Amino acid sequence: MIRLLISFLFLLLVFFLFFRKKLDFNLTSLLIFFLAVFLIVSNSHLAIYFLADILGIEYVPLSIVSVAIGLIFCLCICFAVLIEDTRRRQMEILKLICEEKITKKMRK
Amino acid sequence: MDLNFGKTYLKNLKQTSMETLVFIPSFNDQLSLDPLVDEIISNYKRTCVLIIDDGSEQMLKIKCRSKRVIVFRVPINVGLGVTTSIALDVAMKNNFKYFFRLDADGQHPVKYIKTLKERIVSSKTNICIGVRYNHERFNSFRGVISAVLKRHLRFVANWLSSATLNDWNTGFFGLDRIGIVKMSQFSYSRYPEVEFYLRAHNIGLNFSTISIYQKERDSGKSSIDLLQSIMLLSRSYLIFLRFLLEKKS
Repeated sequence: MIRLLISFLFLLLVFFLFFRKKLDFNLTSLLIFFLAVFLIVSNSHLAIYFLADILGIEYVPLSIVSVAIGLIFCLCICFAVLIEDTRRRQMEILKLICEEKITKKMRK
Repeated sequence: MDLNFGKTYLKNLKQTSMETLVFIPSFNDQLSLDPLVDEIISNYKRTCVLIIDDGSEQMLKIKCRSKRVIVFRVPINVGLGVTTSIALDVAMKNNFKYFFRLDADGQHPVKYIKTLKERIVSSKTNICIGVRYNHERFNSFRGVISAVLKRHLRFVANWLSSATLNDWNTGFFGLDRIGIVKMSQFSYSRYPEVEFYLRAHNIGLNFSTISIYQKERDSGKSSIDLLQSIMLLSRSYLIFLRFLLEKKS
């Protein structure tokens, strides 16, 4: 019951942030996807056994840790892409402003 | 229909009275800049000097009051790549025919600007690079490491691009109008030299080189320490990888 509750609480938090416009659509869908994966893996014995079998993990509960690590890696990559994209846009804007100001100085 | 055609034409006519843009990126180089700027302004006519202060700790102050000197301060340190991109865009939009970049620490003698320009004109090349024949120093541990890294990068870059450039890390180069237009289309990273020359080679710009003597630094010290040189090496390898991928596609 608590396992379900934790996942749903996180889901609610994500939805709350989305409707308050603190999270954009892409990030929200990504987080929901990850939460869904975690929900399935943490609540279904079959899924855990299946994962342990695929990953070759002898101690079955460890497979859930590997899923968590995988999800964290994915999140890190997504955040890195988002940050780089934002940085690139900022630089483009900064470049434009600088060019405009320099050109104005030149034409004086 | 362009209703402002007359105005635009007059503006462009005014702009073309300056044909050369000398770009000096600066980061905490206050002491060496004044003599450098004075020398350029007194020796080169129809030349505009653009100094971009890349977020120095103290704001740059240039004594020269000529209208041909433009000092611009970027409020934060954005790196050499972004400032080079800004300068190239300015050169492109203001119809400069030639673009030269030299370091603010006084290591590149000003007299070579003329040689670079003459070389670009005589050999009809788009980019001319000032290759430093004395930049490797083996008198300290740091110098030896730096020389080994540079030689390694040079070997790999020449091997990949089938170019025969002896100095891939020089910041002294000149571009003609075609070079300005083509190179201004790209963005560059923090230490952009290798990326810049590989890009120029990749898009088919004609290369030429001149040998230059690199002077001692007038002031300050290199901003590249051991950690940054390792980062630079790894970044260079990523650039090589991208170059290969672009070449294949």
